[in-house]
Amino acid sequence: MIKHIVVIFVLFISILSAQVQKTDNFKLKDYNGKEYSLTDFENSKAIVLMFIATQCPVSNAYNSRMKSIYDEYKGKAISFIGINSNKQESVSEIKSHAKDNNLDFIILKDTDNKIADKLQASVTPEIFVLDADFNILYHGRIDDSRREDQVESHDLKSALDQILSGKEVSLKETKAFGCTIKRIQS
Amino acid sequence: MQSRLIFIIFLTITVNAQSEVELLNKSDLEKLISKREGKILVLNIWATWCIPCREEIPDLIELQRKYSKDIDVVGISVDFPDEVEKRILPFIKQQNIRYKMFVNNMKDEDLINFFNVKWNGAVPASFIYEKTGKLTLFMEGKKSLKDFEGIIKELIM
Repeated sequence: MIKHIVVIFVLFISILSAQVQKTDNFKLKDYNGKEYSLTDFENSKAIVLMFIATQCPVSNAYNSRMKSIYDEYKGKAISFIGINSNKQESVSEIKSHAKDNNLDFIILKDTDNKIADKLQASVTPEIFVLDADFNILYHGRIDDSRREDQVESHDLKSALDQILSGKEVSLKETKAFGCTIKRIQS
Repeated sequence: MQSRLIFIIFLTITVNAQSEVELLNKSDLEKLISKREGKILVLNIWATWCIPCREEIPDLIELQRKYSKDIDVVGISVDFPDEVEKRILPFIKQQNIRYKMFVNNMKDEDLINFFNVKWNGAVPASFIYEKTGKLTLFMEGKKSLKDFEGIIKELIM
């Protein structure tokens, strides 16, 4: 029982601990088996990492919004990378889901949720916008409503616009409800 | 006459059904936490669209049944308030949830930030408050009856 309490206590402390400010390089394969490294995108003005899912209704509610943001910003030297860290969502499922939903950006499979752990990502959808040195410029939601017609604050787009105009991102951290990333051994 | 009777019955059922899920604003949440009346509070944040949340609920029902003297399990659905009848109530009935149920009426971010812990809004999440109203534990992801019991037993003692 004491051991149990200690484990919970450690878990609690780790939850309270400081957030990740910067990440280092990592390599992952996409759903076709092609390997990508974060350094492949270091010439970008910003790298948008999007933790997404195939089965999460919240993530799926954002499919068309992710597509339109990608279409709007891909020509402006901003790179988009989807990451699927859910243990139960297979590479073939990710591939067909991307095709069905016209998600044309790169989607990487984060086997054993190593990158989700590294970035402390916990929910889908969850966004990290990095600069070329992999500093985190923005972390959080795409916008402020799961219902597209009720969106008031386009947080990801605002962050990208500020980055493109050389300004500091004014709202660096936002939150929204979403699905828990299904990790191994959880 | 018969149609009027049917209408009244229908109205009664509808009114009863609606009274099962209350809208939750910040003041309701503060009141819920502060007015403990000698019981531990297990606050469970969930949604009908969330599969692990749905899977966790039978364990919460059992937790409330087993420790009804010492704890209050309270659910907060983060579905939209206009989904009470269509989504939340049918699930409550199907699972036979007897504990108190709210639907969040605050902005999502305001509810997430209310708890003042590092939580990005992944559901399910549970918050355990001592009898004094002090937040003791935050748990993210689906938990089992055993997980909840481990903590509850320590707090009851």
